[in-house]
Amino acid sequence: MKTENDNLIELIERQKKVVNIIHEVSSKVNSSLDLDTIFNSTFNLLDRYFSFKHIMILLVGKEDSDQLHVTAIHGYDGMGVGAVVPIGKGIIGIVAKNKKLLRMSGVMQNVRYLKAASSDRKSIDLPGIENCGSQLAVPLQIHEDLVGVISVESPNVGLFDSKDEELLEMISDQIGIAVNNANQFKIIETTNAQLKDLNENLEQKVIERTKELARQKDKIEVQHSLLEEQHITLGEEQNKTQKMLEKIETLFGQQVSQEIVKELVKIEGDINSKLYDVTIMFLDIRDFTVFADSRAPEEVASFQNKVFGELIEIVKKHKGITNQILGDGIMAVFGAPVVTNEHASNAVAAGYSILNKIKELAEKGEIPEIRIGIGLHSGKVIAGNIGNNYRKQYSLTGTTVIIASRIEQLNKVYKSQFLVSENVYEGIRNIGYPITELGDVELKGIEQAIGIYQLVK
Amino acid sequence: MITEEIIPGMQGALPSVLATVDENGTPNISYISQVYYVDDTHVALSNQFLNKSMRNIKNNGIATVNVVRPDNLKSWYFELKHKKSKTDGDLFENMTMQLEAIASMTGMEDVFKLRASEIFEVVKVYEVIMS
Amino acid sequence: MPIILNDFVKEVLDAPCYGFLGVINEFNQPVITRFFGFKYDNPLTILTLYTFKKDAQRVVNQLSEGVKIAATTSNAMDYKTIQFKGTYLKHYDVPQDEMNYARQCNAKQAKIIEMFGISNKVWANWSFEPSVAIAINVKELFDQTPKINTGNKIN
Repeated sequence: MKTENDNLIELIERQKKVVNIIHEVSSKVNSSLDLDTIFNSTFNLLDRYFSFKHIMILLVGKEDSDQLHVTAIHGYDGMGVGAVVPIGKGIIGIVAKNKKLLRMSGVMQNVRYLKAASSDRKSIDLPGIENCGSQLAVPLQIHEDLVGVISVESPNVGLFDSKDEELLEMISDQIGIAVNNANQFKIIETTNAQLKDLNENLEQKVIERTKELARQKDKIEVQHSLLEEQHITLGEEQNKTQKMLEKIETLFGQQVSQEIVKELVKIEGDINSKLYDVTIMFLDIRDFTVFADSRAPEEVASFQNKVFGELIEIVKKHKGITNQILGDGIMAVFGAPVVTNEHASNAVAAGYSILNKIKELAEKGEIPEIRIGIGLHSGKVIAGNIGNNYRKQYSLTGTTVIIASRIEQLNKVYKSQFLVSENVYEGIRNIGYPITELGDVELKGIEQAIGIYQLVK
Repeated sequence: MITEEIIPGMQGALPSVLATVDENGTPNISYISQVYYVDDTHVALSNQFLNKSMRNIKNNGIATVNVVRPDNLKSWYFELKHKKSKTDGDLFENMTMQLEAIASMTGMEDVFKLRASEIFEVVKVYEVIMS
Repeated sequence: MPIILNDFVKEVLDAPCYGFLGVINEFNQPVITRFFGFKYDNPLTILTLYTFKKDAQRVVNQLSEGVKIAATTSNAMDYKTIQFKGTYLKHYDVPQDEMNYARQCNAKQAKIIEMFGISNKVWANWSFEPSVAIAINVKELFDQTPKINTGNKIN
């Protein structure tokens, strides 16, 4: 019978062994990355100190993570490294499945007992000793992940106890650390190799990339100089246009319609005296002097600005130019300096528009009720700049102008508002304006009588 | 009550015997694979293959077992009183794992499932005298 | 009524030769003892079991007419198990000529001893020279071989 003293001594001796073994194993784990070395020294220590004669370390398969592979063995003749245990089968497989240790006695007896109850079921071939009396298996884990199992066996029944469980748990911690270190190292090695490879390729890649970038840079520089040229050209164009506009405005003493501007830009503002086919419009405000006399000067000026402002706008809209503003009327030309075949119809349309506008303004009360007269004649004129560098004016010369004036004067005789010559009539006869033929009329200072038409509403 | 000497007999190395009594006073004797050590006053049985025995136990909670050490064949009788049926906890899990470990070797882990751990209080222990 | 023994029962009765028998004591507690060797007739009417007095005393103390007895025997090799239930007939000290049954039992155990790696010295703890024979009027037989839904009545 053992005395209490004997028991205590035994316990202390055992503890010493445990401390020694853990110390040695952890030193190995810390100083080596070679798993085989670590496993084998662990086995030898367990055998030496605790007489564990049959020890196995299995690791979870890399590709087949539902299986454990026998990775290191101690005390197994005839069984080699590489044998496989499916997770969930046998003591080792169940320990792996549940991630909990298991200690069993009478393993073989239990197997036989259940096998007998299983009648004709075949048992799976699992690595282990022939007649297993006791087995203790502990999971190997890294953090919470299963990495493998460490198992010790003995043919003796009831060999392992709870203290052995504690010991093997401590060992399994160390083995877990060792496997983790080895894995990490492998990862680092692989990464290093990849980096090395990358590095070697990198130089080459950099050279190629630099060349590529240089090519692109050249391309961009070419595009850039092209753009600069375009920019300069554009700038020059803009200047030109600006100068043109200024010229035109100076010339006509007014803004002209966009179409005329465009045309003039096209022909580069060549407004040298030339012969044009045009329609001349004269417009008069009847009895304006009488009107002006009975009004204050500001009132008269205001009236003039209002009315002439509208008239000039209407002429401009119809592609004409208000050539002269007289106190009580205007003279406009259609068909110069921009040539058009529509000069007659443009002038007529402008005339109608003016008459409507005047009526509208009178009805609104913006101007007093006035009567106006419009006379149109188509013919040739010489148009161009007259004058010198200090003062130039766009002038129109020719009988056409005089005739148009005389036709306007006829409004007084016929008590009409809108009279056009037969030349103008030719240009508008297909449009279908309501028209009254007045017959040939002799005009003062003009040799031949001219056919006169009245345009009515 | 259960001394250290007895514990090796409770590891399933050799079968144990379970005796119960029915409502008519008829004894029933069965063999079981293991009487599990819980602590020095408690044991557990897995109710594997126990039909009549379990009916008797559920009926009156009375049992007598015999356990034998495999190394020297010394044996003991326990007189037991049924305490509870456990279907969770460390003991149940451990017994389940053991059963699963063995059953899985013949692919019978779905058939032999531990239904419950039957916990008994040890009322009396006496050694079997064979000489 | 005599029970015709089928092959299964015969096989079991021939192979092992020990088991446990038991009765119920005054506290309704089962008391059991080992038997080592037995005698039976075919067709089966009476089963005589050989026990060791020191351990069997608890059982013997309960024996009287009509007392119910159960006895179970199991084959250590293949776990085939049979339970006999019946009533007490008689008990007596084992005479010399019936000691054979125990000796036969010893012989049958040789293989098991080898299989379990049990030394002769240890085996000596287990086996014994029987001192009390208990005879039972057998009424029922049950197949208690471990398997799902075991415990079926045989006869």
